[in-house]
Amino acid sequence: MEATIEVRELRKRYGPTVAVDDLSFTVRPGQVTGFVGPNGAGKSTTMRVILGLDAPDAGTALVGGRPYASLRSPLREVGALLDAGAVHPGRRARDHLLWMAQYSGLPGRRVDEVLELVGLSSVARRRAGGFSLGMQQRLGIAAAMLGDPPVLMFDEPVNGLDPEGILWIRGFLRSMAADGRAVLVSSHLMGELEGSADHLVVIGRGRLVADTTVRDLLAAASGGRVVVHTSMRTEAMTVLANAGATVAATDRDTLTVSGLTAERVVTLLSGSGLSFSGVGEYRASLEEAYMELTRDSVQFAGSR
Amino acid sequence: MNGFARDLRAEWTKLRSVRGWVLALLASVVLTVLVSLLAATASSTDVNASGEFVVGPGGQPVVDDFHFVHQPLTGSGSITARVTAQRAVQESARAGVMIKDGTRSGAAFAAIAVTPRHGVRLLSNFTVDRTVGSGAAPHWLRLARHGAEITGYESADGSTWSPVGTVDLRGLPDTVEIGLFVNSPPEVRLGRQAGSTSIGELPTKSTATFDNVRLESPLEPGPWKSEDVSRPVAKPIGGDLVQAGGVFTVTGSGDIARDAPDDDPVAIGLTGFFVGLMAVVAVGVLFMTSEYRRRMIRTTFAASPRRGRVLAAKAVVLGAVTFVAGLIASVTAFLVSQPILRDRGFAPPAFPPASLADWPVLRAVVGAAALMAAVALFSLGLGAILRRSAGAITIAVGLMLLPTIVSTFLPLPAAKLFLLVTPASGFAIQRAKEPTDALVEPWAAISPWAGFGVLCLYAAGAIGVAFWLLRRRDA
Repeated sequence: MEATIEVRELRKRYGPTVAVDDLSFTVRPGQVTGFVGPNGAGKSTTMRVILGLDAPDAGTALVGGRPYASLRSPLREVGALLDAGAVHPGRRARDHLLWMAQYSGLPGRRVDEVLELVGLSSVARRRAGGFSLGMQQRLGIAAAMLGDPPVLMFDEPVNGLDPEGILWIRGFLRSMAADGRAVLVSSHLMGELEGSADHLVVIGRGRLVADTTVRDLLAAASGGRVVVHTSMRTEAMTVLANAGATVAATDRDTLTVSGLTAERVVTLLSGSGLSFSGVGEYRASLEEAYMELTRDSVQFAGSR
Repeated sequence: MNGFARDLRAEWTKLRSVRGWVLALLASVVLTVLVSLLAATASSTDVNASGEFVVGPGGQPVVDDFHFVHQPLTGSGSITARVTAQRAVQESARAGVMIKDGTRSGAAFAAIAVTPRHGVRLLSNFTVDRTVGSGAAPHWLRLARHGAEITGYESADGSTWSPVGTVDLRGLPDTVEIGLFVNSPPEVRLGRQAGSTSIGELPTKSTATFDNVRLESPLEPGPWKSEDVSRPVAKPIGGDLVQAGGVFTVTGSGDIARDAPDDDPVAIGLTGFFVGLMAVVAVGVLFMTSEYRRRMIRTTFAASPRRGRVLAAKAVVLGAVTFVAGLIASVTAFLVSQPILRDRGFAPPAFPPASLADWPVLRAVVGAAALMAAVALFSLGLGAILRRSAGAITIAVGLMLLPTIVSTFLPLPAAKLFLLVTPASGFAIQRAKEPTDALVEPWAAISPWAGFGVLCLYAAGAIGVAFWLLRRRDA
């Protein structure tokens, strides 16, 4: 099976609410695809449709080219963490994984392996009701890994994790992609994906906003701008503006210049005898790029 | 391993790994046995002491009251008579010929008789009572003894005879009483008040005329003796004989039948199921609704997208587990309650020992376990339909308990009908005796299979609707 998720012209409504509207994107193997959008944008709905849990009103969602419901042994093909709290509190961690393994005909040994993988071996015989949010997340990830699937899907996996856990997840996601798996990770905070995602699918109000690589998105948000630090701010602004650039003072001694390359800025400032330091390309943060993208589609933004 | 076997294993793991459910199932077994024990201890009867029955040849309690016009017959012989007319208020009143081991009430006998509405009947030893012809008076009857075998004949005209049945009365002495008999069963009056019943019997009588009475005997026939055969405590209307020429006019009262008390020690010993079932309802509902409460159903359906098969696996696992729990409970309750009940009056001859080797007893004991499984499946279906524990448990408990309480306050036909449209009718399977109208529990009045069938329909219906909804709804 080719490790992909293909979503084509997907539409899903709940009563009068359109949750997903004509959404298409592809998740490819070997990379982490971030699935980003504000709360209520339709990320979880899309994931449920991919897993065959909710029926779409139109369009298709295929895993490895096939609808989920037709998979013979789904846990061996797709591992998913939708909701870390979806565990019976009275059931031991190991039993929770065991019944899932049995549904896919996986041996009990595999349960111990994934518990080891997520670092829960020592609490395998404890009841899941007593788990912290972080432990529940790890249990959910262990469940997703049971069938050693080529496609992984995590809905907000870092929610509630401590910094150590977040770091662990990032490393985990990277290594999964490095193994050649297709990894889809949703988040409502773009910043959470910084450093782990290669590709981004951004949605808002159920519609696709952007389907791009992280590099392209950052480049677009950076817009070829140049940042220069100088103590002679006013003079520098004049020189650069005269050369045709748009200049903004972003700090007491910082200018953001667009319309000129860094090299040109250096030449101009040096030629005018102005002292400066730290000329560099402006790097937008993912969060910044994301805010720009979703400014128009934020559903629950305060209007007062 | 094929898919369904995997699903079964997975659902079994789910069921056994929640401690609360395992404890609830254990509790249902313990509660069932304890409450049955309590019910047995609280029950008593003095039927054996009251002497309202006599003991038949098989040791069973019987009534044996009628008017007998008889004389001795030694060795082989026969009696022939024509019943020319029968005047009776009871459709099953009998007039015919009989061979009996003396005139003691309860003694062995064989007889052939006509009835106003129930055809020609062959009777023997309170165990045989079958229709052997469709005739009514006027009609010819004959009963012939040859050794231990007694054969009944009937004829419409007295010239063409057909044998209609032979009974084997081994142990019948050489000399027996042979003659004409007439009986008329009492009219049974059932009183039904809120929560209790009373039963009253009004004696009736019937009169029949016989002619062409012919006795074939190795000895010279003697004179006819006329007397009432009756139980010591019976107060029948006295019968008599008017003989004029060859015409015998015989009047008689009473019944010749088995008279097992309506109370069923087997059912009493399974009373605890009313309570034990409640725990099973909870497990059945929660086995489904807990998945919805935690949205675990999505994990389940992601692991096994064939939703119908998941439901089937759940149903099989739950059904099997609750059946086994029910069987442990019912066999234990049966074994501990029967000796107690025997000490408290439910003893032979009125109550022959109940043995699991007897089909009705086995049906009741195994049926109680099946009742538990069916209720569990009904609960599972309700849980899947409603997806809410509280609502599903309330409805399941309500449907099992309310009808049993309400129906005891209704007139019997309404009570029966009411019960038969609710799953509570399933309790009928716990009776090891014939249905009776004389008890206050209306589920004693409906047939065990009809009652259990209704419960099974409810369970199948709930599972069916759940199956349809599961495939249709978003998880």
